[in-house]
Amino acid sequence: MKRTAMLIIAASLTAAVLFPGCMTTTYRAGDSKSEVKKNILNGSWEKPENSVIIFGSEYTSFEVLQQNPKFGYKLYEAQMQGKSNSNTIGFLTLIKSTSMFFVQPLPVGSELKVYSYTDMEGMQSVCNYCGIGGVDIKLTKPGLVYYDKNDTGHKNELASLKVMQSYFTGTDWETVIVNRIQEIENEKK
Amino acid sequence: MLICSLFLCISVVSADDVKAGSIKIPSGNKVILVGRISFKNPVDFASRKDALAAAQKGTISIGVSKDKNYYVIGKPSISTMGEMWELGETFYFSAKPDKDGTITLETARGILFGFAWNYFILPMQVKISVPEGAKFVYVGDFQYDLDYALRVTGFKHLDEFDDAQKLINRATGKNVELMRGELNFIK
Repeated sequence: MKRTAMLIIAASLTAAVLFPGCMTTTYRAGDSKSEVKKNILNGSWEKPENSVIIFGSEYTSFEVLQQNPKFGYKLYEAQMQGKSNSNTIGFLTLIKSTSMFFVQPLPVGSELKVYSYTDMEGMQSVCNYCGIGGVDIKLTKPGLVYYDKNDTGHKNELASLKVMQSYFTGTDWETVIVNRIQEIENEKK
Repeated sequence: MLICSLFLCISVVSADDVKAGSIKIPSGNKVILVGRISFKNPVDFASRKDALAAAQKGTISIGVSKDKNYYVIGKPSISTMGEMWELGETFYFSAKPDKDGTITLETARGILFGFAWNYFILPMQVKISVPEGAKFVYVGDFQYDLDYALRVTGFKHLDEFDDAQKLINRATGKNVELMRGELNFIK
């Protein structure tokens, strides 16, 4: 038994030295950057003065159901951008994913139920459906809301803001995003 | 994601409306709990239809109507396949009592437009003592009041035994003995 185990370890180390593997996969979902800008400029997306963008990190899909009858029940699928790095060393494959999502600006007063999200659990992508009863997030004031569920696996606000900024270049929302980036960077000093 | 949705939809095959004579006398030590999930005030499910239809794109539902709203006791699963009723209608839930002769119902799950992911939870939280020798046990009408976000804002437990007796006779096609279970609400 011990001899077999030692042979496997030796084979893994040899493979790691001879055949190291590294692969990066990028993915995107929802509107493209140019479509986002078009939506803002033609007024079909709300302005920062009276609306809220909810955003987050490390989910590979995210949907919310707007529950306040004042605005009508509506399902919103997040815009998504991310990349996944996999490193193969011998028989071992390490995967690290980073991603950003944001939901289009929604009016202040919206009440949101998280309908579904997809998470990486180990090497698997798992989709969770959360139901349609209740409210998880109330949008009470204009601006940005970072959704992290107080979970360290989903805390990466600064990186998400930087990716999100590229969708809003030259729009009123860019100023709001840049201000938040500066706030976080100042907090770190 | 599509594969996942197909599996869930197939797993919630419905009994649809209960037809006369379709309920059989349970075998072994199983019993059938007879009751109802209803709402104090009409709930506007229809206004959610367009929003939730977006989530159903590319999915197939087998044995359920996308125009109807159902409920199950507990979670939908292969073992409870077929045990699904339209919201507001009587349920006939087959269950096996625990060693102490009780059955606990924790939750019911409302499912809109025949799609398992469009669910909301209705707490039941009741322990039922099954009378000796009973095959059909009446557990009452669980009447909820829901707000605009399908949150429970009120609850009443009602006794409509005489109506239930007529319904179980029709459902079994026989005059069967419906016995009242002793209910203890846990919370």
